[in-house]
Amino acid sequence: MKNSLRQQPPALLIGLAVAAVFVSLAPVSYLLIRLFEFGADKVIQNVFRARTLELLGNSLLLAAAVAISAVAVGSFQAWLTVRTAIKGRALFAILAALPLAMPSYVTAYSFTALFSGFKGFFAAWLVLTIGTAPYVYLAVSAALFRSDAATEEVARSLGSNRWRVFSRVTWPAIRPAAVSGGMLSILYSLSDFGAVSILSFDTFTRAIYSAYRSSFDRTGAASLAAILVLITVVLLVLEPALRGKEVNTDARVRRTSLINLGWFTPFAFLLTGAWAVVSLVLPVVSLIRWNQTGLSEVDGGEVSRALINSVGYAFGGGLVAVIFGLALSILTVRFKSRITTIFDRSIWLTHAVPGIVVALALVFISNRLLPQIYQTSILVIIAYLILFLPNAIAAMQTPISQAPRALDEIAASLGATKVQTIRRVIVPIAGPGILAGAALVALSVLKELPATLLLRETGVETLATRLWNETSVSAYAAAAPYALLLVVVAGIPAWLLNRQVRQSMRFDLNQRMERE
Amino acid sequence: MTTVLSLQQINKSIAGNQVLKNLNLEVKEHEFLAILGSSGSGKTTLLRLISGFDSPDSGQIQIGGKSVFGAQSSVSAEERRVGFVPQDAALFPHLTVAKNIEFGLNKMPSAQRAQRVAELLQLVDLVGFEERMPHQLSGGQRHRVALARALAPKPQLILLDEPFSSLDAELRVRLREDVRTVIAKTGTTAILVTHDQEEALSIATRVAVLRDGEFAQIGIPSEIYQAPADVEMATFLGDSVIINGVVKDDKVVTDLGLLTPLNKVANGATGRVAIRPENFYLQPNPNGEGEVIGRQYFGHDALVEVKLPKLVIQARANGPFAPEIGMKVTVWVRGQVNFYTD
Amino acid sequence: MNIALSRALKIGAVALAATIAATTLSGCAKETTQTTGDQSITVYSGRSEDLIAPLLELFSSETGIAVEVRYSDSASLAAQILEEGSNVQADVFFSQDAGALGAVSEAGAFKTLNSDITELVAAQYRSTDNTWVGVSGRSRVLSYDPNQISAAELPKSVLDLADAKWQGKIGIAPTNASFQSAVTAMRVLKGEEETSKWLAAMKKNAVLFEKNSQILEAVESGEIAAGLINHYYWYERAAEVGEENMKSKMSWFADGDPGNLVNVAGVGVLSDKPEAQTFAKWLLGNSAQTFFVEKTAEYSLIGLPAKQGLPALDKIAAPKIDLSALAPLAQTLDLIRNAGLTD
Repeated sequence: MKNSLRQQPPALLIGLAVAAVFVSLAPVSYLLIRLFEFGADKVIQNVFRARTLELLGNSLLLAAAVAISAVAVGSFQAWLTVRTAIKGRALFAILAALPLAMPSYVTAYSFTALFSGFKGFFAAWLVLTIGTAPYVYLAVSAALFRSDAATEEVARSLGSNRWRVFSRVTWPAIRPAAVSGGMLSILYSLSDFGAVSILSFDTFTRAIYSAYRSSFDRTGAASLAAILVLITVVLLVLEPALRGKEVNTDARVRRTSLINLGWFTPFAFLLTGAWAVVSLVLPVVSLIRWNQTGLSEVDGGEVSRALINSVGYAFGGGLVAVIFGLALSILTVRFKSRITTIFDRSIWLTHAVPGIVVALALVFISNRLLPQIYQTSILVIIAYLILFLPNAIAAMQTPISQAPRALDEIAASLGATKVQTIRRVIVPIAGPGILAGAALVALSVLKELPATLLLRETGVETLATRLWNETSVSAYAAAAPYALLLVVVAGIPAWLLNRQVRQSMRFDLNQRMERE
Repeated sequence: MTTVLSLQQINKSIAGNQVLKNLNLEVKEHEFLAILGSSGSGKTTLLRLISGFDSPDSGQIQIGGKSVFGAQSSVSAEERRVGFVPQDAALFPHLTVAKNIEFGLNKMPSAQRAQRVAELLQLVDLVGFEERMPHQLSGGQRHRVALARALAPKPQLILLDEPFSSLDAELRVRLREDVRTVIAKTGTTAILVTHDQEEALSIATRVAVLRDGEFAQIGIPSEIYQAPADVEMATFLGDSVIINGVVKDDKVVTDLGLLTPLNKVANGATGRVAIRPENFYLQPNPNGEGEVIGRQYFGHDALVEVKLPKLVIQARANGPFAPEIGMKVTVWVRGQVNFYTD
Repeated sequence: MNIALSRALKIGAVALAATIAATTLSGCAKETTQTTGDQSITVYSGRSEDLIAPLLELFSSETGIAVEVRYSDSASLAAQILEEGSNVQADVFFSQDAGALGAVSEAGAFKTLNSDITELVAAQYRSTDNTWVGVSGRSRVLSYDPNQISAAELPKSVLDLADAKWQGKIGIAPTNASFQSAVTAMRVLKGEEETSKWLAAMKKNAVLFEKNSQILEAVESGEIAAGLINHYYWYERAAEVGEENMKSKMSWFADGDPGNLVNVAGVGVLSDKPEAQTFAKWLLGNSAQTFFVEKTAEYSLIGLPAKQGLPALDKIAAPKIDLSALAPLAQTLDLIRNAGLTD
């Protein structure tokens, strides 16, 4: 299909996208420098140790288990809140999205505070599933909304029972979204250190941290981190096959009825209710208990400074991620070519690398290339861009692809330049999706710890770094307000994200009503 | 002939509005019923009750002689064996044409299944398109696949929900004819919902007009067109010229002269007469009372506006012989007219 | 094409400007200690803010030197200092343990300390090349739950924990630097073979933790009977929950046992600023040393008396060992790794 934007992308887009890719690849180049320094034989020796391989096995097992359970939980929540007539589904939707506001190290802490024996594989599995299921929930909700519910009714009229309708019609429609969500879960689990270390489950990131901590071995750590990049490459290659055929649905609104769950209703209530208790109520109760039982004191001025800094970083991170993410998304969606696809994939490369490695890479590179920005907020924001640009793009690409291409031509026929078309047509249409991307980044920035700790301007504290400070000396009572505040502040973008998905849904429901 | 579908006393409210009021309907085997109604008349709701996607508030539904909804029982959509062709086809976007058609045949042995798919492809004239994906098909092809898909499991009844509304006029006419032929060939009982009266009249063996949740009239197409049940029906189903009249000596006295009523009338009754534009005959006459003041030319015919001393009428005239603007004519009414007492 | 390229570059600059704008927008609220003078130093502190912030206030008010401080864990800061290369931002590195100081020292990033600083501290608590100096001491102890173990049952040596009766009862933190230093001491004192045997037994007996504080929590909750920690964690927790609510007790091993190792937190100087040396010296002065004793229950290294209830530094029967000998951790890490306790 031809369209006016297709021919050649505007320089603005190319400039922004190249800058974003360049920055995103910085940690990879750092790893290469370190590896080169280390020598191939030592790398192999370092990596192919029984213990390293065991840890790698643990990591992969955990990541796979988390991905499967997150996809199951998130998809079920999405289906329940979008397709069924269950009472209180708007509330269930919020409950499904809100755990996004809880950093997984906080969840882990709160569980260990409640249950002393809470540790090991299953503990890590549960905590990471709680942390990543909302990603799946949001992606699948959006996909369910886009898919044509009339096809499900046709399938029923052809004699298919509920399960067959789901497996043969609904699942193919949500599969790409579910797989993307699962992929995010895998990368998240691979890169996580905070939660697994609190829960005493040994993973590959532990090997990386030990290399830094006990042997001050930067090159050894880099060679291990490079393994995670390699795994990411494999996953990126596998992903298209797992996603399955990209299904072209027309997002037409039709009149369909919500599914009446019948005998399953009480079970659905029980399942979602129990999950809400585990994923939200228990951790929050535990935090409140900290707040009340400890003796350590909280400094109000300290709290408000940390809050201001956290919110500032979140805004900055969100804004920058939107600028660059928008450029990359438009480039990959509207000017799809081999090069833009490489751009799109390359920003994911460091997504499984733990934050500390990305941060140290930036320390190394900035001190050699641009010492002026070292230990300024600029470098912190750049770190956030590297860490969370993939999330922003994942949220923005689909809404952008849904702005009708015919409008590009109409805009061009009315004399708009390509950049004007983007600004006046595509951005407003994809607006809610772009905001969702910004919200997702802001939320991730609020929760981020290792890179913030290393790169922030000396003397600047955020909610997350304060929380780290207090828990590192087991001052739980002093830590609790930071944890609670963090959850509340991060809850705002989480709630916005859910609203963005649900709003289109409400529109859909209104349409359904109006049709008759 | 056996009754395939029977509705008794169906009531349904949506969001506090009573959408369907005490509906009764019977559809016999091999019938092709069109339910004609404007938007908001409740026709899509009715279809969803028959298919089992929604349930009525009260009433009974029998399909193939068995109760599928009643006081005690409710059979779910997947067990009703009612085919469904929604608006815009709604093909499974991830399945090929053949797999779409095959979808409802999962209980059939695979050899038979392939044969049935081949039969249906033949029937809807899509041989060679087996491996195409839905987005590679044209609008008309998509609808034919949707029809084949619904017919594949040999349903007792097939429902079509405004299936042609998104197509352009020419394609709509052609597809309508294709659908009619296919359904007739398979002998399937069908119900089509539409707001397009031309579509309803041309495709169906029987037409039910749904107005404000009630059937205003049910009958064969010619009956519906030629003898509308009331004045509103007369204007709803195509254009009519409405003139006041009084009955005198079994004739209706109007501004157009004396007209012969089609129905039985009582002397002295006042009411209105509905005359279809094509029932006027315009005779060119330099001394005629009428003057042509407007003319829309369509080729095969023309719609001519004629000013008479007391009113203006619209008449349909044969294209080649349609009078020009400014010509004087005498207006005649052909045959009998429908008289509706006030 | 060239025009397109130059435009792209221009846009790259605009993007950078946007980043800066976003950063300004995020205008950070930061904190430094308040002083009247214009002298200032930057400290990288591997010790926690709770502890160090009041100490630095004290320093600034006494000397008029302002301090900017960056808190993180000692190992990350060491890695950060090494990655900063020639552009080191810190004037002083205040480390939680001797190991991180050793790593920075080995990379040659420290300046030599003035002799009026190093002579304040006994040779065993500073580096041989005078690049870093200990400022406070902490002892390894056995923390135990008196409900599960009577005083009579307490082991005489850390090596006794290899006995099968301790299976599932003893907590250790094998990735933690202070545990690793203690193992190094064991290796130096008892030899490699015995240490390996002990580690292998710990693989069977021990419950593994990430941090000392987690071990103490587990002892407090009765999940394990005993654990190897640093002594001040007990006081840290006591400050949080109240001393009367502490269920666990502390015990030392017999004379000279490697389980009684005394290690230090210390500082090294990274820049030529005289104020950096001033800071190092001040940490060994009376105000700072009293502070360590009072606030953290650590041992003074200039001979001030220990916190009430603690045995004196020279009474705890620490093994005689040069802390600089503990710096090369690689061998120890191999032993711990081979025993399967860490990566």
